Order: sequence, then C-alpha cells, then structure tokens
Amino acid sequence: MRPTVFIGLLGGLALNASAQGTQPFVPGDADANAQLTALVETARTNGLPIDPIVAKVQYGRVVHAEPSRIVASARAVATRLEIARDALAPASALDITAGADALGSGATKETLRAIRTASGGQPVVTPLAVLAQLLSSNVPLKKATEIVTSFLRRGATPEQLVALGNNVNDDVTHGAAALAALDARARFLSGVLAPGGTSAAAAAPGIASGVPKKP
Amino acid sequence: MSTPTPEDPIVQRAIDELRRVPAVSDDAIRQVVQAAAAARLSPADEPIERASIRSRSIRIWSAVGMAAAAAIVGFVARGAWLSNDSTVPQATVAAVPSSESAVAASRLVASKASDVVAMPQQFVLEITRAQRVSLVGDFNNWSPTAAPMTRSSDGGLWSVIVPILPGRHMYGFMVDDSIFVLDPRAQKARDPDLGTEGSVRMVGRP
Repeated sequence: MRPTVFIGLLGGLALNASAQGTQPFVPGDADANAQLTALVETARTNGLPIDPIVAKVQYGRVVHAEPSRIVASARAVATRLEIARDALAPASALDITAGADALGSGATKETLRAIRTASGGQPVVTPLAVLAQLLSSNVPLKKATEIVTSFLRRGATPEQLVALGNNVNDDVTHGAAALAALDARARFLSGVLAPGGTSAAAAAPGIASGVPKKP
Repeated sequence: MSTPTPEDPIVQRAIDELRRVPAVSDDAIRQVVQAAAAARLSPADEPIERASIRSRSIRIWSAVGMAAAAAIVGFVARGAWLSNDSTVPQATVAAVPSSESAVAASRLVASKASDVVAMPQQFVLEITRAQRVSLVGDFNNWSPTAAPMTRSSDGGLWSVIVPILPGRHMYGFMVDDSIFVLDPRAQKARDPDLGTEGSVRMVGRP
C-alpha cells in the first residue's frame, strides 16, 4: 500500500470519527430534512459558516420547536449570515457569525459596516457581540452603535468592551433604565481610556457624538 | 523558534482536542484496513517474502510513522476546520465535494490566531433532583452528550469546564436528557427566530 493512501485513509478516519455524517437534522421529517440539507449545502457552497445554521436547528430540537419553525429559523440565520458577510467583508467565519447574531438582535447592515470601519482591520467578534448584548439590554440601536464605534476608535480592548456590555446588562437586569446604565458605565470606561484630563462630563459628549478622541 | 509549554494555550487546546477525539470502533478499523488492502496500487506494495527483516522493520516503522502523521494531519485539519467554523460540528449533512469546500473556505479570511483560541469557561448549576445534567449551547451545537456535567460531593452542584471561542453565546442545561433549564445566574436573551429564551455567556478575546 502506498503511504499516501494509508495517510489519506487514516486522516479521513480521524475526521469522520468526530462527525456524525448521517445524522438527520429533524428525525422523522423527511421534508424538513431535505430543506435543511439543501440550505446548509448552499450556505457552505456560498462560503458561509454553517455552524450557526446547524446550531439553530439543534437548538430548535432542544426547545421542541415544530419542524417548519426550525426550517424557517435556519433560513433566517442563513440570510443574516449572508448579509453579515457582505457588510463585514473581508471577514472571518467568527466575524460573520457575530455579525449575524448582532443582526438578529436588531442591528442593521449599516451598523455592521460602521463597526468594521471603526475596528481598523481588527477582528470584530467582540465589538459585535457587545453590540448585540447592548441591544438585548434595550439600548437603542443608534446609541449602542455610537458607543461601540467610539470606544473602538479610542482603543478600547475586547475585555473593556465585554465588561461594559456585562455591566450594562447587570444594571438593566437589576432595574436600571438602559440609557442611564449605558451612560454611567460608558463614563467610567471613557475615564479609563483617557486618563489625566478627560472628566466624565467632557468624555460623554465625545462618545455621544461618535467623534473619536485619541487616548 | 520557541518551545511550546503545557501552559501554552495552543498546546492546552491541542490536549483538549485530543481528549475529545472519540474512540474508534473495531469495525471502523477493519473497514479502513480492508479499504487500504483494496487500494494497493503497485507490485512494490505487495508483501515480499524475500524481503529482509531489516526492510520489514523499516516498513513497519514507516507505517507507524505514517499513522502518527495521519493522526496529526487529521487533528490539525480538524482543529483548523473547527477554528474557522467557530463551534464543534456535531451534526452535519452529507459531505460536500472537497473542491466546493475549498472554494467556500477560500472566501473566508483566516482569523488571527489570538482570535480563535478557545477560552476555558466554567458553568455551574445548582439542582438536587437530577440524575444527569449536561451543558448545551451554540458552542457545542446544543448536543446533550457533548458536555456532561459533574456532580459535587454533596450532590447539589453540577459543574463543567469547556473551551469556548470568543463571542456571545447562548446556552442552557439539559437535565435528565429531557428538561431544558436556563442558568439562573446568567444573563438572558430571547432567540429572534424561535422566540424562546436562553442564557447568555460573553467570552472575550484572550
């Protein structure tokens, strides 16, 4: 046996051992399976990450959703992935996935483009995740976009952005108004990013207007 | 070139990946061996009785080396695949021709290494009346078998640590294989398509 054949066979075994290649998406529903299979294959051929679609299907099964609802949900995810890819290009699979999640939370294609521009070529997974989180915390889209893009331009780290989103969400969960929570938390981060001179009062307008300030 | 250490996140991820590689059944091994035998391509590959012990040894060790290489190739390919697709695929459809996969992959920009390193995350659920609890989420394709949780010595606290890629993730717990439970300590978010609520974990970039 040629070594290349041997390597190929074992390599294939290693890959296939972890993938359940024949598992149906929705057991017992041939029509839904056919639609989902076609949807995933089309997405893959079009260069979209398929895991978010598969995950949505599996989530639908976990919460016992109707097959027709699962198919519609998967289709919606595929559509958002396509919009995200176009808005964020060039983008990694993680970026596209995060973009689709943000779209599902209420973001727009223009929002995604704004964050891509503000990121300066860096990965946008975390900024988009924080945007989605802010939107889920009932922060209006315009305000959430301004905050995230502003802090991106000012060099906020992913950890700082995640902390901002988590803090706002915690505040809202404990009864605070979304905008009030955002203002308070953004003021703190603004002070951290511009030490020695930028007061909270001075920092807030810069954030609100989306005008970048150099740290 | 620096030597990787056990503390290196890449090395740790490799260890985690290897631990998750499922056992290969005897049937699968038999099928591969039979396929390999059927794929013999030239007389040079036939066993030759006149071959010296030394050459046999070389062939055996070559095969061992090839097997190791294949395992590494499989592991690396799988790791790269998972990194690009962001989560562990538990259910996939029939294989797409490799040329199409290559075209699809070429349309994605490779992420920076620091952006695709999974971060260890601990999840805890306090529940006393349960026989089995597992963590399910978009990071493991909501598979109830992917992340079984361990019960504490007093029996009331279940926990698990899993590596998760950066991003915003929805999850929950599957109790006794049938009951979906949210994390009472976590943020919540409504799924825009199914209308159901899930727990949310934000994972930042390292």
